[in-house]
Amino acid sequence: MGLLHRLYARAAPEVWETETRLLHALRLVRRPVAVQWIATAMCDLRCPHCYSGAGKRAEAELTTEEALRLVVDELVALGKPTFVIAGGELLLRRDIAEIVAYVRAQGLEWAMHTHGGHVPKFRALFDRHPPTLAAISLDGEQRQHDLFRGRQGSHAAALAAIRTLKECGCPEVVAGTTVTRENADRLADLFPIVAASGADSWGLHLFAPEGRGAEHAALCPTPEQLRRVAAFARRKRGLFHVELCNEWGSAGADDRFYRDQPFLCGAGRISCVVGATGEVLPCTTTDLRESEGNVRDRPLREIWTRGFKRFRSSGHRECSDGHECWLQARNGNPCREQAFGACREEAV
Amino acid sequence: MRRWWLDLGSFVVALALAAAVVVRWRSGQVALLSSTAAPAIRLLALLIVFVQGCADRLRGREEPDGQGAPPGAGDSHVPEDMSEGAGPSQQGDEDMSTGTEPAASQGPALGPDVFPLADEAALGRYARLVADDAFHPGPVKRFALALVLVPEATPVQDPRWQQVADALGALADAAGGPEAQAFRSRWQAHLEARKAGGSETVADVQALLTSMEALPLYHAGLAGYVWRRGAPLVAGAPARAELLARIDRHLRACEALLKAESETGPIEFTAWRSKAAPPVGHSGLRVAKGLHAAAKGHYPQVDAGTWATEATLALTAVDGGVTLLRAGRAEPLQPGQRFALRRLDVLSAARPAKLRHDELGDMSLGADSAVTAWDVGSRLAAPGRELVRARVTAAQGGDAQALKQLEALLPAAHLEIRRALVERPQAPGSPGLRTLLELFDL
Repeated sequence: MGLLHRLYARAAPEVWETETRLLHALRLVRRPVAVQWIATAMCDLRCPHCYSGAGKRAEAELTTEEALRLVVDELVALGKPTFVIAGGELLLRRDIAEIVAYVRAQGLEWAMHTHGGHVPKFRALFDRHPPTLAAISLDGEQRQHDLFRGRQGSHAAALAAIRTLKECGCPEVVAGTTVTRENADRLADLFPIVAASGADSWGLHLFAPEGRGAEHAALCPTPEQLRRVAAFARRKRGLFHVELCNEWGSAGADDRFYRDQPFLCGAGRISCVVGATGEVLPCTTTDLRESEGNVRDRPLREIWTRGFKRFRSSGHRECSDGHECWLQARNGNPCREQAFGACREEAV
Repeated sequence: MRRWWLDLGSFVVALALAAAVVVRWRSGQVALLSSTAAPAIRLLALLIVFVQGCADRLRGREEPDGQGAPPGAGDSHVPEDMSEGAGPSQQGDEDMSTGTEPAASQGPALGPDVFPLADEAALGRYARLVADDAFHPGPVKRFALALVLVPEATPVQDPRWQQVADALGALADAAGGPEAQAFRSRWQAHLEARKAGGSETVADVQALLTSMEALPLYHAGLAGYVWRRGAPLVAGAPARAELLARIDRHLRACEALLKAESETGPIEFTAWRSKAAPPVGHSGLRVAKGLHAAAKGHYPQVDAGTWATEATLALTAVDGGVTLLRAGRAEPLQPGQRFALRRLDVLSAARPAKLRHDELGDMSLGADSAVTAWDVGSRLAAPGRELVRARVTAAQGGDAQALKQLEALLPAAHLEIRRALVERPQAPGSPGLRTLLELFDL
């Protein structure tokens, strides 16, 4: 077993991709590990980098009953993957407590992405049903965060949310920073704030020109910034749990310097996103042309098993290359080579 | 008899599986993978990748140009300027290749270069100190983080000092034994010296490293801290070379352990959380089998990671008489020889000599001088110093191009950056300079 483990560790991405193709050939599909639900497009902030272009409630968002029946019940049938609730701002949905209670009653783990401003109001919910993971956005030190988020006090609210969630027993609270051209060179100032915030880890996301972000493409970090941030993260990992998130793509054999597990793009392979209106997408894109179907028309189970073929077979390079972040690749912005230099491969 | 039935049974199962696949093919159905079948599929995929890997290697051996070899494997091109363009961990000792055989007698006497964790027991003691408990950082990480969060000249009454002291106590308690006592008192003395603003010697700093390694504790963050304490101290070439060579070995051990962990699985600790007493001998520590052997195997090949490849300065030796002391070896530089000055290198010159940087110009080494990446900037001639100052001023004003240019000159520029940050900490480009400094300091 030790030998197999070592063989696997040396070539995990290759094994994983081969496994995906093999499953496709055998007409088999993995069960999803995580399914994200964009609970609402509503948000009380107008962040320029928002991948979902959140603001007003979308027309025909899933109702409470639809969310429970068409999403949660289907996830039970799909083997109970982690249910990640995001937005918009999920805590602006009035029925969120009811949905979370139902999710837990069905035995699903849940996680959430929030800007943190409404977390104290939901303390009772988090006390009763603490999420297994909560990601709170933190884009910079106080002045920069508030400026970027367009609201005074949002930085303080994010820090308060981190503390509240830890007090409620959330095992992993992540301070999530979306790296943009504006804040890429300010991470040294943010590090002590994150380290002292009570967060368990610091997830460095990468700006993707999706949603409202597409209107602010100038926020894309420069190649020099990408390289510096990756180098910075690598150095800080010895001191704090810093992780380069999926949008960075794979660093090949050097992944061990940047993250706990080798990177493998899970879009359509082990994860998918259910949009606010029920569209099933491989990842957090707002482009409905990428939809594999709507849960109002076909059961999620069926969409999962029959859809996403381009991610599971070879031939569609943009989708089938598990080393790339699909979201960045679809925007013609593969960052991994810029961030990590020439990515090295290690043979088995 | 039983075997016959077994064979038949296996055949029937295989036939049924094949039939199921064919039926699914024909009907276009797709089924969810069951948890029992998942390991078999994983094993099959592993086998395919292994066979493919072997075939690729064989092909690479057969083809004279090595076209089947992994990227970079047969690349004999060595970039002239080693401070740029090299990927992480790719750059080895190539930049010293034009030199003569190392004159080992001039290097510091460090003892045999062997993997420092002698056996599984030593690895177990090390693991106890570095293992994180789920999302809670282990005692070493807590101590290292507390240390770096206390900047220079922090007042004695600042509560962060107490956090450092607490973290030090926790780390020493976790280690236990007489070595832990020595470690605690050595580091406490160091912290007192820092609080009082007193000076230390290279020997004092080296003792910090010794006390760590005696635990045994190997940690890149703490080694980086030791480097930052020791690098600015004035001392002769042998003392500086010995300290930096020891840090180099320490960092190589960290790299070897990291590489091994990525192959065999991480060191993990899970605290006993049941109300019942833990079973006898339960430590909660999980160290993967084969980790020690893997780390020991990697150690001779690994370099010091970013310390070997990043924040270097590309220089040319103009005159003879300069010796490069690196990792316990001494190499006399030939006139005209290009090399990359790393943060763990020492340059020594018995007589006055000159070095040249393509952009910054000449720098002079006096007789009996010892220069490292920390203080090489002060050796620049006036035009070079002025150029660095202008770049720092521009970067502090928010010029992204200047920031990029400074990144390639960090050893020559970091002292000027520090000075500028003390003068104008709130300038628009100061956060960028602080982030850049992190790439030099760690």
